Amino acid sequence: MVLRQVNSDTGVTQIVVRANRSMSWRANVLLAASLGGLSAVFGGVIASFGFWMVLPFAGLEFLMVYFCLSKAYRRLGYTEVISMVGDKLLVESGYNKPVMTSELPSHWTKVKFADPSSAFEVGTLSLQCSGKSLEIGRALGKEDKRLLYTEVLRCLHLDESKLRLVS
Amino acid sequence: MSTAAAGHHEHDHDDHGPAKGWTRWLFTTNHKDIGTLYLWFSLVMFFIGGGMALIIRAELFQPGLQLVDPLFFNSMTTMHALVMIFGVVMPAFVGLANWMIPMMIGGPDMALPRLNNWSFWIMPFAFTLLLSTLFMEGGGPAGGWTLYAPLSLQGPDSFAFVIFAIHFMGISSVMGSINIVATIFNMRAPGMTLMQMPLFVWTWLITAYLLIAVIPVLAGAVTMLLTDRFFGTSFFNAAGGGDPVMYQHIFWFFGHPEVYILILPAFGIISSIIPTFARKPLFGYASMVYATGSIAFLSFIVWAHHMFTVGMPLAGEMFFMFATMMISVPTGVKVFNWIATMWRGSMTFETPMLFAIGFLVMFTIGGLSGLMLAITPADIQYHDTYFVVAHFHYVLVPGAIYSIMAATYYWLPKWTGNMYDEKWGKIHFWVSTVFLNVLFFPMHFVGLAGMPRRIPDYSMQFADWNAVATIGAFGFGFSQLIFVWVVLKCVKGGEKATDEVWEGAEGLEWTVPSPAPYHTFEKPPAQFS
Repeated sequence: MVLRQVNSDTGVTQIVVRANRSMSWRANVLLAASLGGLSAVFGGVIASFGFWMVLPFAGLEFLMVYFCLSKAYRRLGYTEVISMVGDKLLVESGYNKPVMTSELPSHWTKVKFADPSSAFEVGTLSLQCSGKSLEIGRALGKEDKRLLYTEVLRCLHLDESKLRLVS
Repeated sequence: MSTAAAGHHEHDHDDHGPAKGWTRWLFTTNHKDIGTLYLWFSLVMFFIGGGMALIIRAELFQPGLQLVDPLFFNSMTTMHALVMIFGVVMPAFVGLANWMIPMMIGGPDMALPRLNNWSFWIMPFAFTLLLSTLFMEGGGPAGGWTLYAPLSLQGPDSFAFVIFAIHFMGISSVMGSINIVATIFNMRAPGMTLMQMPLFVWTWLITAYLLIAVIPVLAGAVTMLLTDRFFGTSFFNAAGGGDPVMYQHIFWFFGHPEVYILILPAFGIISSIIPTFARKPLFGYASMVYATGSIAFLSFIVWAHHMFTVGMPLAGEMFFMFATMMISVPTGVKVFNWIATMWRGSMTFETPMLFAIGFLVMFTIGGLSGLMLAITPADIQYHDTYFVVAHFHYVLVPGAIYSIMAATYYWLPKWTGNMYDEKWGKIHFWVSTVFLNVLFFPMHFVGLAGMPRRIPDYSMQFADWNAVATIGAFGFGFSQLIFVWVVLKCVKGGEKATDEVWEGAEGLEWTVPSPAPYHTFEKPPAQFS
């Protein structure tokens, strides 16, 4: 999903890029607990008759359920925030908080989208500056990448429109 | 620009298109590719398991021992069951889930694509391990798919391979189920509530819950068999203070929910097909969801109906008898809802609908004989006879297998972009249905007359109906070649399918082009946003 928002107080334009996530972490924990609880009850009752070998498998399975749900939730929570702050383009990315931040001078930055004709590929969207490349919108599909490309381009052009020729 | 960020992003963005050649299939994380792999694997195993069934029926064509020795015959009955349950029906449903669930909920893929790849590729190893035991000293497992102790413990050393194969199958099933649960809960289209999900998604969600709940029980049970056989423990060895009857309890505590694991996704498929060809919305959607949940709950408290003859207190017999009978209530809700959906519908009878109606009629026959078996005093007479074989084959063949075939015909145009050959699809249905009944219906008669199951020889009075059943078996077996031909012909080409494919089809999967592109719903669908 690509969302564009403008802070009316500061005038900062932000583009938020993230995948769709249809359940909260709390609900995921409850889901894992319900599955683990059920396995624990079954395993516990059978173990109480002396057939304890069900329990380790139930435990291992619970760990796997928890690990997989947390991994899936985390993957879906990857967020990129692209902000226009003054003459800088700020790109922050991370799962629950920004863990990688990149600052690019907006006048020297170009946005490139290698839009493939093949239905099998989604293409690569990147910001390019001083011979270096920073890929953005990695989690997005082709349509959303096109949208993000348009939004970033609009952002960079908006910035140019504010400039005034003085000499 | 921070170099850390650039370095992080400069690689690993080549995972969006299919690789060329065989590596596409080995390393793929795409849900459609993995779904296709599961479905082809299931088809191959269907013919392997079917071949075993034909060996069984060929031996039973006449009384006396003609073709195979009794040990090999018992191996065939054991392997046929293991292959059909774990190698055909379950992988086929997982394949359908892989293909359809992300498209039905408007998600771009499964939640854990690499796990998805592993859960498939474990399967060929597991079945190679299982089938290789037939060529080992002492032969393969011959004590029945239930692996009852102490009989299974007296088999050859290849037993260890069987246990490891079952562990691999269990790991694969658990990984697949976790992936399905994570996908359904976390990746639905924005705005799609649980009660807006298609019935196929609902039934798979409940099936995945059942699998996650019971696979550790099976894993524990077979591991205890392994330690009893090779490490001197006595969990199920009466001579060492163990309890062989407890194995039956533990096994069926897994085994009965497993029966529903084999049929609940079929309910979802039929609930998708009947409304399409009746051109009416599914009657009683909410009641269908609750009925599925009720069946799943009841499946945990009826296991001992498989073992009435081992002896149990009268209160126990009564409890398990009535609990089993209660399952007919939510199942009846489903059957009546499907009939109500068809009632005054603008029905047409394309191949998927024929298979769905075949399912409805013949699954109900299997359900009714199941009710007969639930009656404790009657079951004591029917137990271990061909009546039981007739019952579960009526539930599983026109139940699970017909639903898989219905689903294949229904979604094949969406997968391939081509319409299948309708004339040959209908011929496949009618030939299969005639031979299926010739095969399984006489088993009711010989069963009620007292013919025991799992024997290579029998009394003369059962000869006629056994000959008829064998003719039915070969007819049914060879008629499946029509299915393969229709599928291959459709994959190769044919009349181009529209996006909607079927006039009355509803759901997100029909909004994407035919064939479905390699990546779908990269952008969440608009109608739920």
